[in-house]
Amino acid sequence: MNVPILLIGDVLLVSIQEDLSDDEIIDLQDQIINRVSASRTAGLVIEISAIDMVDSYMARVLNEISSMVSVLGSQTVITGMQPAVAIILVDMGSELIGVKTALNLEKGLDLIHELIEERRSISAYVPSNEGDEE
Amino acid sequence: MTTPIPELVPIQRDSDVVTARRIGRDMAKTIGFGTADQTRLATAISELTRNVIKYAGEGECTIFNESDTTHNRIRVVVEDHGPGIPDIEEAMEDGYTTGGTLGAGLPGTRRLVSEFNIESKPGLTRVEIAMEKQVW
Amino acid sequence: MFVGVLRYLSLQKQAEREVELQQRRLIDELSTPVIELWDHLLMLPIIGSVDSERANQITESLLQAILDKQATVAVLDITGVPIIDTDVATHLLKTVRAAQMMGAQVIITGFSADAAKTLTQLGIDLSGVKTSGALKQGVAEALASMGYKVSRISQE
Repeated sequence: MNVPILLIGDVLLVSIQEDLSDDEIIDLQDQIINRVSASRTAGLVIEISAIDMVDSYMARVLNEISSMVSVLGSQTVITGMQPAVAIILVDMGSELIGVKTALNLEKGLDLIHELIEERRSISAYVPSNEGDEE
Repeated sequence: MTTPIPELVPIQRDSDVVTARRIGRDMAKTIGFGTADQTRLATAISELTRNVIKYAGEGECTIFNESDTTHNRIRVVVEDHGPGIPDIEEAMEDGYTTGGTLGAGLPGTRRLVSEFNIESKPGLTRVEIAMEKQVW
Repeated sequence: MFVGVLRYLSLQKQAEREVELQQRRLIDELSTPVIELWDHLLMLPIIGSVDSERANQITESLLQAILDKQATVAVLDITGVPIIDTDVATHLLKTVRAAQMMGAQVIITGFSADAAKTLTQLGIDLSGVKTSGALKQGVAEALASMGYKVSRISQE
């Protein structure tokens, strides 16, 4: 299993490009949470445009990842869900709940930055490269 | 015309779930089902074979091509010799609301296919599903 | 002789089936058009009754169009749907949910007074989706959410 996980600025980008087994999905969940916790991650974007099937297990794990990341103080956006996947998740009753989604990676990155800004606006913390100008 | 040979996939480990759904999707594609239906079938197989691993440890998945000139049809039987489902009626209860519960289980899987039959007793659980579309 | 008759019948059946197929395709196209109202803004005028099969078609067309046109907003107008009951509402909500999961916003317009009364009395939860009576309002809100404003250039 080779799922690229890249830290771009303060956004962790995960691009799932293959059909993963249940064990691999759980493994990925661990990797993601550990990295979000360890690095200066303000947001997580999970790109799934290459996946042609999301079953109830994967849907549950995606929800869990979003919740865990939220506990750590970060936001999650899932991007690129394919039409067939969306229809089937709704049909089964396994739809993602309270997880933000975006049509594609570009919009996903825009959205995650919006969410990060929103979150920052209620925080006294200013990233050091901005605060030094005072 | 010769009868197509069914595909038999032993379900013993995690990766077999992936194999079974891939074979199901490939067969559905070959038969001529559209992408959405291919995905429905793959998803249903994934759900059922996962249950086998989860509740029985191991079992079998057999995929049959039963198409003819007027219908695309694929049938899948997932069987195990595990402890069985204690209360099938409860397991098949449709708890789906627009509020959204997670985890499809059997009711969710049933919504994906044209036919769904289940029998379960200690020592044998057998779920049979079929996807059928009329070819106009 | 007998075999000859059977073969003729099956040829005729085939011809009938082809005509049926063409008619079906035409009806499908006519009844679920997806209109690109503006860049990344779709509109679906839904006309006629909506059973689960039709709802499936509508959902598939809508989601495919969202993908193809990279649409961020879709307006579903139900002025032309004669009866809005629990089943229809459930189908529509599923369509909306699927589109939302892809990352698109959906606005349902064209609710009549009767529909509004019925759905509320049935306890259908429409809180997850923007709705309105007039198509105009839905389109205006869609455009606004995409950052557009419509204003008159000259005084008439």
